Amino acid sequence: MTDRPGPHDPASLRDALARLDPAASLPPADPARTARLVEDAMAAAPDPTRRDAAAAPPRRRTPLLLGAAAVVLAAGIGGGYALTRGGDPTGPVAATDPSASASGTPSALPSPSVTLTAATPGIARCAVPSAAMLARAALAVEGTVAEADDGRATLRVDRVLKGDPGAALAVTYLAGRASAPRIEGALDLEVGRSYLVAGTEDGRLMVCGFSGPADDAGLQRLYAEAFPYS
Amino acid sequence: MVGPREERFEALAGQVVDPLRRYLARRASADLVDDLLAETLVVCWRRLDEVPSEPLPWAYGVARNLLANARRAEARRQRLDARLAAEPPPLGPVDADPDGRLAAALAALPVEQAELLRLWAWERLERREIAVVLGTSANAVSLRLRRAQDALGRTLADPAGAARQDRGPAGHEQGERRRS
Repeated sequence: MTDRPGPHDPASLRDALARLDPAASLPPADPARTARLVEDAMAAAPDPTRRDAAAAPPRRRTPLLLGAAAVVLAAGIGGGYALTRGGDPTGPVAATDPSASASGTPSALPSPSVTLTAATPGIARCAVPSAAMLARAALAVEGTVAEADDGRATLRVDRVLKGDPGAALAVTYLAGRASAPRIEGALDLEVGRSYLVAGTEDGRLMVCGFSGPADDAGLQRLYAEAFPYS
Repeated sequence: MVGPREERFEALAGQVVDPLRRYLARRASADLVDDLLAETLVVCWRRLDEVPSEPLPWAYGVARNLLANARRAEARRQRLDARLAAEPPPLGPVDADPDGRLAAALAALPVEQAELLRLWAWERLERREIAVVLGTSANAVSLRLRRAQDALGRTLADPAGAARQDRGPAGHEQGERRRS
């Protein structure tokens, strides 16, 4: 029935929307300006053939600490890629100093719409992480832990590599076991530290070497390879 | 000296610069378009070896991520997403939508649906190309595009009713849906 010609059939909708295109009357780029942009781009990244230079910015330092744990992305994720948004994305996003928000300014972050919850760490072994597997994530972000309390943390989303989580992400990284002994391989989140985290389309957080501290060079390379746009 | 890599990049730029400018002009205020275009080209240059044979959807994907990060940075800087939220690019000619219903219906959709429709109608991308931009599968795009078309049709037919339906339990934020 959507094929039936009419005001709302796809072809008519597409044409009607196209007439609203704000760029329809944009003149072509000035060739001189384009040439300048091209020059500037090449000058801005003088050594692009060294892929590791792009993949591993020098500011990151420590080794990967993650291992086996099955983590479940628990809350409000609808089907597929359309990860649910929430909070007030037009409101204040983050405190400048992430450690400050841990103690007293939770309102600086909008309410996260997505919660990643760590399941009981599994006994299954992790596969070797690959960029191809990571690329299948529905959500991948770099975020700084703004608050962490009782095994639950809120990350300020600093960079989105894939998906659309909004400005903040909640992670329950030690579900119900905040005071339990540390389990090898479980994800631990420290206030003020940056992490790369990924979640699958069906709502599980990817650990096993797929999520971890953002200053981990191996993890950076993995993310750079998996999400080459960013 | 111009090497083969430089030549490849210049050829790529010739293909993507204009479409990218339009893409950005549709989504960002005019003062940001040039900066974002320049940044997008830097990423294209850096990752030239990864550019697929059909470069444009890939390049849109780069621009999309830079735009999202610019929005985030802007919001952080200003604590209110004022510039980007308050100054969406003006929509096309008024006579294309004399009563503003279509623009209003598009603006009333959840951001993900509106963006799908823009990629489809403004960038004129096919489903598999949209999938490249969004980093998802063509099947998922087909499904969501169909839903977005239906939602737009419903909103056009009954703006108040569609708005009520949209504010269901899953609740998208009203302010957010107008942003992109």
